[in-house]
Amino acid sequence: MLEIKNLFAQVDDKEILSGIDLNIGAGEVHAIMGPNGSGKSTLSNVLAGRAGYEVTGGSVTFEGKNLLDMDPEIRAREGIFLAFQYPAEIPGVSNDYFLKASLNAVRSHRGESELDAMDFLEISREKMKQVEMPDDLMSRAINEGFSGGEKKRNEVLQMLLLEPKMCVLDETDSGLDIDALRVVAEGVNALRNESRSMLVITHYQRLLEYIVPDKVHVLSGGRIVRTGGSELALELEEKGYGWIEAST
Amino acid sequence: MKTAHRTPVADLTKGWVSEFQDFLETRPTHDPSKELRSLALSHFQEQGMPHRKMEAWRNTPLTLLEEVGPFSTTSASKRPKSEISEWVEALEKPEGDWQRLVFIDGQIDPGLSTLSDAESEMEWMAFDAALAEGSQYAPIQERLGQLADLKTDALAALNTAYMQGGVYLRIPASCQNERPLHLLFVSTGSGSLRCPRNLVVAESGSQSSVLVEHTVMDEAHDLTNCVTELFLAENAQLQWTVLEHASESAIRFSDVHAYQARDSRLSLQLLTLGGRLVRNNVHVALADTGAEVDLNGLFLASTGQLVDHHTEINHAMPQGRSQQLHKSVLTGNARGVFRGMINVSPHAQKTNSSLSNPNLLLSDQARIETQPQLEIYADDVKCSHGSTVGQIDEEAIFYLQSRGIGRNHAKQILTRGFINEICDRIPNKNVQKLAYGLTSETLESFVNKEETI
Repeated sequence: MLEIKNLFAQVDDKEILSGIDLNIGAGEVHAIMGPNGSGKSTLSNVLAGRAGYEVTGGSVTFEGKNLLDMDPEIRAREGIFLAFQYPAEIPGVSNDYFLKASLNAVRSHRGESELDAMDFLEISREKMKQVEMPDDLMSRAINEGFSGGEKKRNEVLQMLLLEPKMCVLDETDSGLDIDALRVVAEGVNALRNESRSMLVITHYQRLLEYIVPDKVHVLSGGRIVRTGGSELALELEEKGYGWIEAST
Repeated sequence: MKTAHRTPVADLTKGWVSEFQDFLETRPTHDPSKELRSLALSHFQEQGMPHRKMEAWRNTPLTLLEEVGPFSTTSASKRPKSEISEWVEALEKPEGDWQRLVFIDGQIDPGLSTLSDAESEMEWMAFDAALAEGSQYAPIQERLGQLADLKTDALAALNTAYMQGGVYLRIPASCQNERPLHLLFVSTGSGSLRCPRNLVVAESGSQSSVLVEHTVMDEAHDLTNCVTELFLAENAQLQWTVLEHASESAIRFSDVHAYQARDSRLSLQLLTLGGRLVRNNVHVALADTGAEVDLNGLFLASTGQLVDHHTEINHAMPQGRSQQLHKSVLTGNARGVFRGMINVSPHAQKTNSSLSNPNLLLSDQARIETQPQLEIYADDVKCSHGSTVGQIDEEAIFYLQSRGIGRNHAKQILTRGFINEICDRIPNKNVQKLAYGLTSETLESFVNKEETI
């Protein structure tokens, strides 16, 4: 589904990614772990197409198409979803208005009919229950005054609504207490199926107890330095990143 | 818009002075306001029109008047009455049960107005009629011009000389906001000077809500110079929302003065959605302990427009509260001016005052001059003020894009959101809804005209 080949990227003329190779097949869940500054967030931003992240080499193909040629909104419509570590707060725009606009943009790209307000309300209510999100967060401005947990629930809610093919979760566990973590992880797990792929980026092993990955990659110095099964996460938790960095 | 012949501002002034005698003769013989009008005209003549050497007019050249004028004080509408009536009836109105007074070129139109005679409701008289009837003049005379100063404000003087249209409104204590009042002023485009005048007395403990709407038919190029004086007695609560959606050639000056007694609350919204040249002044005197004002403003302007909002709040006594949010969205080569002055006198301890002025520029050519000012002479106060000028936040655009929303659509949603924060503060939900609709239409016209969002 997602094929990353020898990817180089820089931010402000500083090289952050130095030749990443990664293949994620349909239905697979991969985790990327790594210390601060290893390039985890840069990778997720490059995949989502954020301005200021310049790809200087390599390629990324998504379902056979060149992902790097697409504008961010096209990537989203094609089925890439980035759950942000720090979602933007947008005063004045209500969450439900935004989510409906988003869902309809994706639906019309898929050739599906746009939803009216009633249909949207019905679908969104059901998904909100799944992430245990109170009703009033729908009518409030996007993420404005939301707690850390509410912001992350809102990200997962969007994921549930848009039903992307490829979910990238950027440090979704950061700032979450154990209850919020469980709710968020359950939401993500509900989306797991044989065709949907996921890339879970995290600093800690904790999230991976809830979202058990098929493969774990360790990112260090902008490259993947080790790949293993889910047991690799436990080993990292025990020994720390120094162990990997010392052995490469 | 260019006209072949330009009338210099000085000649406009001379014209209005020389037409005054003719105007006076159109008034009823026993109109008791004639003396005041003559006095006002002499003050206007002495001062002349404001000019850019005056600090308060530094960024607002009235030479723009020359491109649109001249403006006659006497010309009548050239449009058939039926056309005007149809146009007014087709105009979108706020939902709900309203009392409505419609003024066409300064004259009340009873056929288009809808009124109630319930005792608890507001008592109103069309300003002209109230003036013309000698018996009603005493309570008006007591207040009229108390807040708008003829000697220092040339436009207030001009208004007083030619005042016509508008209401004298007395809101009794028994009024508890049963039915809001809609004052609709329509200019039909006869190239004239209109001077509506409102005088509002909200009595002790009353609660009321008024929508003031100024609009013009098609591309009307009238000059409206409106003065409003609001008096709030103890514990009175008044919602006063002004919606201006003029054509791109109309010129508007407006002065709103409010005087607030103990524990009174004023909620004032000012939305300017059109006009070639617009200047709005709001002066609020928090004259006694515990008076509160919420004052919010918005203007949207595109190529060829200049909009200027000035506000001044005087905290005279302790425990007053003033909260202000003023925004603008400018595109094309639009010019905007905002100046907000807050004065806190030595007696006004425990004052709580805030002023925020974020401005959104959608094009490289748009300009805004903004100047929030604070003068504090008391030591135990909480005051804040600030302004920002910027483009749409790229982080926010990217967030929406990353959810499948196209870049241009994202910008429109975010601009809409920027405006919503003002509309959301309109206390009457039906007016709020009308404001959402009108601001959306204006934004759409920006998209079509400028292609910048």
